[in-house]
Amino acid sequence: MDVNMAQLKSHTLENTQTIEHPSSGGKALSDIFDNLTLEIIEENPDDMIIDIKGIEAPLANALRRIMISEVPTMAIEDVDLYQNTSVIPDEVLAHRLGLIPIYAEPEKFKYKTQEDSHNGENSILFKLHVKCIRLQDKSIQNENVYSRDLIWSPLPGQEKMHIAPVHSDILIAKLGPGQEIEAELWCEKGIGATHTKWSPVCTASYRLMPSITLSQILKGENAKALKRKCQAKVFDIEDGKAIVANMRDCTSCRECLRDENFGVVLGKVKDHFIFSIESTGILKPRRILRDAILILKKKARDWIDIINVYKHTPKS
Amino acid sequence: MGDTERSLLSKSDEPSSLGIMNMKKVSYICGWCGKENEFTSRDELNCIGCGYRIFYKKRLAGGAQYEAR
Ligand code: SF4
Ligand SMILES: [Zn+2]
Repeated sequence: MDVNMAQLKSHTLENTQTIEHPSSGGKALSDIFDNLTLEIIEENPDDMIIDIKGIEAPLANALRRIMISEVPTMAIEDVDLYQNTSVIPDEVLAHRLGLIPIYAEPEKFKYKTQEDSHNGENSILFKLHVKCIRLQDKSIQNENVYSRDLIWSPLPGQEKMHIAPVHSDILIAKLGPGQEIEAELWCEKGIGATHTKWSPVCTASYRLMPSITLSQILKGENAKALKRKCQAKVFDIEDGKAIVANMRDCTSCRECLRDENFGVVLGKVKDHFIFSIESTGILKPRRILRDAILILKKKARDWIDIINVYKHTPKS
Repeated sequence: MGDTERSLLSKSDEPSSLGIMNMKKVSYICGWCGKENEFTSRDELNCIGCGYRIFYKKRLAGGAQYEAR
């Protein structure tokens, strides 16, 4: 069996250790980067699937964690509430507002520090003023407060920008007749590690590429039985023989292992990661990946600096 | 006791100012229809619009700041 393959048995996983553990005396990190391949399998405006081959789990996981918690975006941080007669409490309303994805280019903004006041370089201002009223004909107006009710008011220096909530139909609150919400909302730049509202992804995850081989030729009824067995429709029949048609769709449910007569061998390719990046809509998934790689690079550079300082410090 | 405190006390102790306070109108928001109602302390608490008897205090002017977290 290939060393590169983890084997799925009916109750265990075998050969799971990674090949490139430092103690294994393997290649240098630069070799890994030279042999790495990145392929876009599927790309949509809001999500994307990519294959990264030739990397190790620590690197893949670093990339995933950076995408989730260190790529900056803009989100509502301060809520100046002037009026809230709705049933939803002030704090809960403020929290809900914070989670609305705001479409804005984070690179054009600076981080706001505690000393800074809100200005055109570090903040975005939205105004929200909705009052629910009962009209003469007994119908009710403004029963629902949606994210489209957030009105962007440009601060000095922001005249040429395009800023709005990503989705216009996020329900913020429900109002009864006479109830009113009036607020000023200040967006700031931040990262997901501080609060999830700044995370640019709904989720970024990876799984290992499955590998399925048939150790014998299956024909006729056996082939049909195997095809029927797999709910992910991995197997198909070609020229009367069972073949593995959609390897990628395998969920590793191990149903095909239950009947040992099929002779299916299941495995996972240990250095082939299938990433799935789902954006909140603020940044394109491709951009999130790029930003994450740049952040990882910067972290590596910082480490080199730290190591160099350490190296040149005389031992006491 | 400081001068200011004493003067505050003596003012509110006067019966005439108490009387004025009783007649002072305060507005509340009806819990059913949202209409603003003005009451003195002697009025019956019934909404002019719908007759509902639960009222809410109005929010202080000036607003409050919350962290959206
Ligand atoms: S493990 Fe499950 S999904 Fe994968 S091939 Fe077998 S039956 Fe199909
Ligand atoms: Zn009423």
